[in-house]
Amino acid sequence: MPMSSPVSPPQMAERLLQWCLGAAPASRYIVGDLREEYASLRHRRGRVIAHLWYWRETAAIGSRYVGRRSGGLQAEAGVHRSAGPKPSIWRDLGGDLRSALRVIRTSPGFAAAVILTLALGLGVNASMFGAVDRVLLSPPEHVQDHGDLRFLYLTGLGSRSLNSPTAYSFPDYESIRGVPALSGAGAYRPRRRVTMGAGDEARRAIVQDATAEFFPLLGVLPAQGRFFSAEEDRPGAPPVAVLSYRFWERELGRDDSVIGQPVTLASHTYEVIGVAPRGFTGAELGAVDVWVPLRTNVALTANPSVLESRGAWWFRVLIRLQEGVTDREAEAQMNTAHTAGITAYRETGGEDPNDRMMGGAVHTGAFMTALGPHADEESAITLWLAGVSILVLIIACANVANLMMARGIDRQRDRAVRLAFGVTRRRLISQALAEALVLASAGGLAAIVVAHWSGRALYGILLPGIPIPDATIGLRLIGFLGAAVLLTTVAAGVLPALQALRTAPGDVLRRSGRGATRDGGRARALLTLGQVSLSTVLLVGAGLFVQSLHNALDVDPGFDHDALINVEFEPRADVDGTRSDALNREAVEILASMPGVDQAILSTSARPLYGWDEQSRMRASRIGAIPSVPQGGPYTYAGTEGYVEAAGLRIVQGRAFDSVEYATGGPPVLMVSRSFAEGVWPGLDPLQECIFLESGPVELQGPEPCRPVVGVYEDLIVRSVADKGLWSVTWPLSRETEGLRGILVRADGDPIEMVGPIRDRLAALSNDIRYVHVTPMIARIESMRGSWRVGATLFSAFGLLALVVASLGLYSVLTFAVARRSREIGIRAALGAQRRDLVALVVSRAARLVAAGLVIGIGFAALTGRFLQSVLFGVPTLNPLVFGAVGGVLIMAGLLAAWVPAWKATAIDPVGAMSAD
Amino acid sequence: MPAGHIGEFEQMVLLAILQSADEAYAPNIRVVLRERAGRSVSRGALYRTFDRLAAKGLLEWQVEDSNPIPERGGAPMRRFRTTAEGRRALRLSRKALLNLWDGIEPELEHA
Repeated sequence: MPMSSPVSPPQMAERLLQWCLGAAPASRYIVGDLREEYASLRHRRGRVIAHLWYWRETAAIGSRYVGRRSGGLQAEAGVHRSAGPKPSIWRDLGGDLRSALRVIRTSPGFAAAVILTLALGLGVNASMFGAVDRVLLSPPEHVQDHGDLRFLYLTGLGSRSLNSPTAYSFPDYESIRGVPALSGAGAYRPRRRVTMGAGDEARRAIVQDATAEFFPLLGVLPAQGRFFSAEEDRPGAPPVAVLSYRFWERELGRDDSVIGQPVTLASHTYEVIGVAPRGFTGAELGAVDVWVPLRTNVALTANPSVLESRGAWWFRVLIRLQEGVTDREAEAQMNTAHTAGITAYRETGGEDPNDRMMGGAVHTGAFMTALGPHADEESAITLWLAGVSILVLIIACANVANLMMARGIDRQRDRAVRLAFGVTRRRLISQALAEALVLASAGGLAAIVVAHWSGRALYGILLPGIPIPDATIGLRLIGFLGAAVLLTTVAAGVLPALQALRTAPGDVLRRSGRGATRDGGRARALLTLGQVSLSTVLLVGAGLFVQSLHNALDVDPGFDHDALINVEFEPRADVDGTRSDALNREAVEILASMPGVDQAILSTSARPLYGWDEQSRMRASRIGAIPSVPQGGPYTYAGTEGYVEAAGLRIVQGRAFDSVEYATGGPPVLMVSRSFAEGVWPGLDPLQECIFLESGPVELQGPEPCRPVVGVYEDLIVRSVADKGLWSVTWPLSRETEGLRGILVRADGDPIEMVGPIRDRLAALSNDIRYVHVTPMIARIESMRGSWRVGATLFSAFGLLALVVASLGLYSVLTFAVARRSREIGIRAALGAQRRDLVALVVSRAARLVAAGLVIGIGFAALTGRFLQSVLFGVPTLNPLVFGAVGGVLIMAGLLAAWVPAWKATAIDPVGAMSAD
Repeated sequence: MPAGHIGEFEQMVLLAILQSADEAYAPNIRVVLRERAGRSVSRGALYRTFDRLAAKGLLEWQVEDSNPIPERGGAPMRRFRTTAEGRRALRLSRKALLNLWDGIEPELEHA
């Protein structure tokens, strides 16, 4: 043997080998032989070759020994004469697994049913887990040590409720930044859409302002170039920008020369200095295209005073706690700094209309916003659906257990024979579990495919604003699936295992072939009952959501919105107000004469019918100040001649404005919404009343008399379908009014078809126009129904899945019962039972199961439904209509499932059935 | 299966042990199989065959101190030898084969 200095083979491989060999009698010799040859090979061929060789040998030897590892190192020294390896758990397991694999080969139908059921149950759960993981458990990508990060919230003076995280002023941020309890702090503005480029090249980009401190705070490193320096993040600094990787890839084809190039955002030019790493979306999950330095950009695009105003709550503030510092300690320090900042501000004469907020306290909140005090609706629905998908898995497990028990009963005789021959019950149990493990693993593998496919669909429906990660199947997901497979194995394998335990060989062999209907029959019926009940619960949920959606679709927005289109354009930065007004007037002229357009008028807001809350400067006749109502308001709308008709307001009392009132210097009048009239002047005739506009709105110059109400219109739904009785006030404006930035177009026909022509026509109007926004009102109204549509879609999908699985379960129970009772049915047929008696025999069993499942399921749904109330819309959870519909669907499914077994029962040949054994 | 019946590969392993005489350690046996019989065997198959032959009582081994070979890191080594029963099985097997071969060699030579 060639000798060299002692060298050891790769440790991992050796450990693996030792594990595979287990307590095999030869294990120590084998390891030694291999070491010896490894040393020789390494001496001759070098370390890498020797390592590869060792791994290969480990695999070759290990695969021969694993699963046959036998107990007891026999014969420690001297001459060894083996009496053959003793049986052991491991050896048994190997055999059990092999025989379980045989099941797939010999009963492909059974195996396919089990694997398919599990693939659906597990796959849907895996993709749901992916969504939950993304929304609730994982930090946004590239964020380091997110456990130390906190969002800051302010409470108002004397108020205990937290404001939304986007309610932090910049001076307040500056005052807490240097507190010793923090190792860092950063501020950013919620992302917004901005026009990028100009003319034909113009497109919308999602922009986020962030301070220079923001990126180091998250611990993220750029993929190209660099992030902002403090020098670049101050008012007046030359504007710079960092692109997201997604944007860089999608829009610029990952052009390496992008650094140093200019980009135009809303008329300002920025120099690109870096590209963020792939997948980075800042501190939240929503996609961002471009980051710009906050201080520079706010000063450039808004107003530098925003950075000094304690009333401008435009920002989100994120901090990182020093190691070992608790939230309490950090809050205490920050509150001291916060109060000191406000005191100094007041002493220097700072004042703000929003003073009531100042002096409140600073609170820390979880970095994962979904877990914080301001969790959004998305996370609530995601959690609900996660719960729902677990129900689907439970149903699937029940079904698999059911199928396996049916099979177990079929093999009872086989088991009894084996018991009689001395095979232990432990072996039988471990065989049942091994079978479940093999099937669950196969189901798990198939589930990966289902998860991949359903994951993308789920992202699209549930999280539309969040970029789909590159890989929807990650390590965590595989881990989840692995755990789910194990749980499923136990859940689905335990009943068949118990069945194995209870087999009494004598009994079984005596009764052999004579249809022991009692065996596991009750357990299987209970499993089916459970499946039907749970399916009922899911279907009730689906029904409630579908009805919510239906209600949301039925909501009358209060105005004739079908043909309405909002138009707004962005002028170039150097275009002044006078020119903008002229452009708008010209645009309205052009639009009014376009074919397919009925009416085009100007209005105050860029989003017509998106008025301002102007309670503070209105006074009503008789009562003076306007009372506050929960939904805010009154909101004010105004437009030029034809506004009431163009907007489609429905007059319920009085009249619309006439052309004299729309003209410059015309008599000042207004119209109010129905709820406003009823709320402000209950029991009085609103047409006898008037409203005084205290300071006069911007667009109405000069002192104002009390404006008489000339008409009352139906309440409008503007922000959300759930808006009810929104208070609003409308007045007429002349074409010469300055600052009218919205255009309202009423189309003749389909508004969607008009979008393109209108955009093209206006874009060609002048070089001063950078971008034209054209939005049909129906699209706005539709987006208000989004959450119910998501709920209805996904609940229905899950409900349907559950129904299919439960019907399969029912089908298998019935088919099996018919097979077991074929002898009995044969006797009945021989004694003169009619076809319909036999059918009734099977169907009545199905009916009993479905009826009991329905009662239990509806009872459960009625008890738990109220938790769903907050996400439903105008639907009582104790809902006879939904309960009835679900009952109908389940009865239909039950009949369908009973059809084939019933037919089989009628086809049983009495002679054959009685003589068979 | 009659006691003492052995398969082709088992036969080869037993023969290789006999050929290796006093040097019948596992690595050497592999070399003999490769060089004399042209059989390149996987180590796993070889070790499993040792186990099986030992279980049938056809071979036995002696554990030797491995101290002179530091590469083994203290793992003991075993030297194989055939048992009397093993040698009898080889003889039976040889006899059976020769009987079967008897008279057909000329025919096969032209094949």
